Amino acid sequence: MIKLFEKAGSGLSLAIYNTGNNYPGQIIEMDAEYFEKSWKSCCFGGFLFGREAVRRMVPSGKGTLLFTGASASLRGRANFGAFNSAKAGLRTLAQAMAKEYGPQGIHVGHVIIDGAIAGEKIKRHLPELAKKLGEDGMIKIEGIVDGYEYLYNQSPQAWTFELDLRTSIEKW
Amino acid sequence: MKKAVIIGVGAEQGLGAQLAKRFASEGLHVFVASRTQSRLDALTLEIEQAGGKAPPFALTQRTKSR
Repeated sequence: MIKLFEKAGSGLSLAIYNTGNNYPGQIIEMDAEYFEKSWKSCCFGGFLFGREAVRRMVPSGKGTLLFTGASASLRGRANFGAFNSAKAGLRTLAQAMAKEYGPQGIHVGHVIIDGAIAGEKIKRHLPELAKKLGEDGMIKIEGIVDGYEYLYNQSPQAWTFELDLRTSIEKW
Repeated sequence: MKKAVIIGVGAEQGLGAQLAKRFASEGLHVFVASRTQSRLDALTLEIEQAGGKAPPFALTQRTKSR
């Protein structure tokens, strides 16, 4: 990850951490390694990524750092304890970084994606679920991307920390 | 040229890839990372054919955190 930033070099204006592994598992039979893997992907990786981003943005006094969250960022759910806790950790990390580096010109944002994304992943790996949800029941990728672009283009006089995106029919 | 770093572009038509394509189309030099070289190459090609810049970077090496 550090090598990626080194390759990008100077002039970094945007960094997006968009990883996660929404794998289920009951706590009573969960290996520590499984929990740790989820935390590393969803939370610890966000710390490493965010740290490298702000190290490069702070000297220039500007830049946007965005993290992808989920409904799991806000609430625990049975059978998703590993994922939920990791995503919640990422959210509070993002919030801390927003408060820590906002005054130095760095816009840190968190995007909560509440629901299934109408993309290749669900259609390829969970076709039955995709069919059950239908196009109206899945979040349109272009709309999510619009949200990230909106955050990126905001003025420092009116920054949004968090967006939450869902379909009109999502129950929440 | 402004630069962007995006990690998590595993699926060709997934969110990460779409973010990379959008910001490349906005004129940013996009640096993307993925564990799957073939997907990365396909995304890079697509961005470059559309006139953007996106050198691929494979996350295949596990390096110790610093």
